[in-house]
Amino acid sequence: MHSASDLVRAGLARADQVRRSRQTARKTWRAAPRAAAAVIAIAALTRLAGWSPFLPLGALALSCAALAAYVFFARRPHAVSDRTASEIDAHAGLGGELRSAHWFSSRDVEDPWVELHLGRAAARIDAADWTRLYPSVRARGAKIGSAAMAIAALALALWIPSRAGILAGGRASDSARSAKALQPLKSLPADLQRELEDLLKIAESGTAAEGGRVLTAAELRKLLARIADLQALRAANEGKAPRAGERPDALPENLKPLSERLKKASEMASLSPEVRDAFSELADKIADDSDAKPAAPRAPQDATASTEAQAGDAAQAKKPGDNEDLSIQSVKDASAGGGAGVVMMSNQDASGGKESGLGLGGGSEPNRGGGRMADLGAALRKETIEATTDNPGENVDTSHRRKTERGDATVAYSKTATRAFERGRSSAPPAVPEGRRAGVHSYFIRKQ
Amino acid sequence: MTTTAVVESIDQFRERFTRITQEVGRRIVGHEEVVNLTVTSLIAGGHVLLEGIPGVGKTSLVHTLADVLHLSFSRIQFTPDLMPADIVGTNIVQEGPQGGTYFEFQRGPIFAHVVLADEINRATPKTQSALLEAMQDVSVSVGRTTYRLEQPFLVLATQNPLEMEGTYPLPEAQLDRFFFKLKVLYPSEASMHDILERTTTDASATVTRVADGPAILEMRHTARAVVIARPVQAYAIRLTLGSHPDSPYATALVKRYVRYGASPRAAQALVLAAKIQALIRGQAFVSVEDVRAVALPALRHRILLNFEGEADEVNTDTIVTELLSAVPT
Repeated sequence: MHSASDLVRAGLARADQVRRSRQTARKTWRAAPRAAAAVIAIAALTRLAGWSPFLPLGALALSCAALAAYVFFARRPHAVSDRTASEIDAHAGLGGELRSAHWFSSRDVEDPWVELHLGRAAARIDAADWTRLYPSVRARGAKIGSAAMAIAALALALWIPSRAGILAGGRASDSARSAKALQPLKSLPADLQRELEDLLKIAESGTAAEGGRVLTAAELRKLLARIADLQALRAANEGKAPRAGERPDALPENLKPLSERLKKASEMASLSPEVRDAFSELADKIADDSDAKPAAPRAPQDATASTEAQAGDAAQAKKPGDNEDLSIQSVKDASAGGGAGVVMMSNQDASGGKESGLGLGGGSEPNRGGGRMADLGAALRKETIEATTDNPGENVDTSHRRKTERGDATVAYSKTATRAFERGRSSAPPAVPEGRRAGVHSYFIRKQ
Repeated sequence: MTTTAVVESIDQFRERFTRITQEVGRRIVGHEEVVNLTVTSLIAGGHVLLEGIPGVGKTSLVHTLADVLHLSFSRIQFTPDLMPADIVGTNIVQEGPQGGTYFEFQRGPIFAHVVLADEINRATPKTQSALLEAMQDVSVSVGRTTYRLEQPFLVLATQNPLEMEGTYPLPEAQLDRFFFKLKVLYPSEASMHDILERTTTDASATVTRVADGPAILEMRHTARAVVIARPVQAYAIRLTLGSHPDSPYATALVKRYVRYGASPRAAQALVLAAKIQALIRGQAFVSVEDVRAVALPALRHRILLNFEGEADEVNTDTIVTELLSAVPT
């Protein structure tokens, strides 16, 4: 037969067990979604960084083990402390009886008052519905969320390709693309070469000017497209990209005269600008020497940038009729008075009939190699960095100079986007006074 | 003693206590808590300091209590010229039948079960101190003779908080001897109706005697038998210690405004009164809530304010309330 003390202790232990189970479940299901979210984050990071997929798996296993260990240790039978008894007492609304009885139950006190107290407490503890007082935690959302996130983490870790793979694939395709672009033609099909020569003859004969057949840019573009297809087909068949620093094969002897003729044709003033552009592109396609030889890319990315720069050239050159439109790219912070002010202007040179190039201060000839975007970018960056270097002289007040000439041109360069020139917002520069006109002219126009 | 006897004791205690308070409540309106705590103090063997403005029923309460308990009652109106002999009594010269003279002790008003010390702060400290021995030891010494006072002995002192001119505030030692300090507040509007109806008509509220001295002593014995667990007792001690500015349980108010905290008598009062509260609830054990229920009347007069506290007119009730909320249970 159990005494009242035993009943009190057993009842309190049972109540504590139920209470701790509930608390443990609450804490566990509160922590589980967070742990699962952390594992997902680790999995995502792993995929992005290309780390081992075992890292998120390990994190998931560690989280599960930690939670399981917590549940195991938290639900183990504990000695009920006075604080615990007090909390259970307060939850059950027993008015301090449980707490007091807990203390007396652990003492061997022979007193009818204590016996009465313990007996009453044991009866009240026995009557209490602890599972109702501490109901089991449902946490349906937390359970579903944790499971879903754990599955997502597993999927991310095991099935979804990593960024490294994507990058590898991307690099391979970039390489193939650049290889295609840089693959020089070793020979032309006979029919293609014949068509090209026919068109050249028409251009060289000047029939258009004499009222004969007019050479259209569409014909040349069509030919250009066929050559591009041919290049792509060959690149795919060979399946290799030129290695870094590798020079492409020299132009075949039979194509050199053709290339020269195409270049000459592209400079004929008698032809329309569209036709001249098309000839120029054809020359580049066939020879590719002006692009591939000096700017053999150090890396596939550079090669891509280089081709993009060419595309930019071509795109700008496709606006021949709009002579007054200027594409201005301001690369200087307007507030940085002391910084380098570099304005790149692309202007259609109507009189020269040359391809509008990009360069410092205006057009440049492509064969000089000075108008390429990559080179221009590097030169511009170097110039702006040098210009913003704080190099005060003896007569310069450093503090004032820093305030007024604070240059962040390098940053501005990377942030500045090309803007179209808006005529409506422009204003003509002030007229140069008559007396200074000669001086200004001699300042800007260098004597040869 | 068996548990059955314990249950009977508890039930009897509750019944008597309820009857006493109900009977007092027939005449005293709107002061249920004051009545309960006064009876609690009587059962515990302590004395009560009643503080309130004139006319709220302090004296009536004491009168009614004495009537209900079938105890002897005496009233001492404290004035500045009141002498100690006027309280405890004095030896007077008597002439014997043979013609000789001898001294005979003439008992003062202190020799009663319930003593009302009305406006106690109007007497000089010397006279006030005449109550000290009676209140603490339940005896008085006159000359070389010590006279025991009859139990139960209860001193109910009143003081007016408004008229402080020409008064002698009770010294700390005497204040500490009061079990409770009860504030008799102004009655509510509803209670005023009852008061007027009972006092302005011919029908006077009569009370019957529901208990006597031995019954009170039995109740006192029962109250002292109630068990208290050590954690609950520790709480009472923490509360008491917390009223000292250098205690780890001291609150911010205590540290700032209190010069000296409650004495161990306060802890005794807390535990003893909590036991009676437990019995009133019909329980055989003391809970923390029982201690908290009596903390305010047991501690408020035992906290001695420093100069800053006096200057800022800090109420000790605020300090005790803060202690109750801050000291861990």
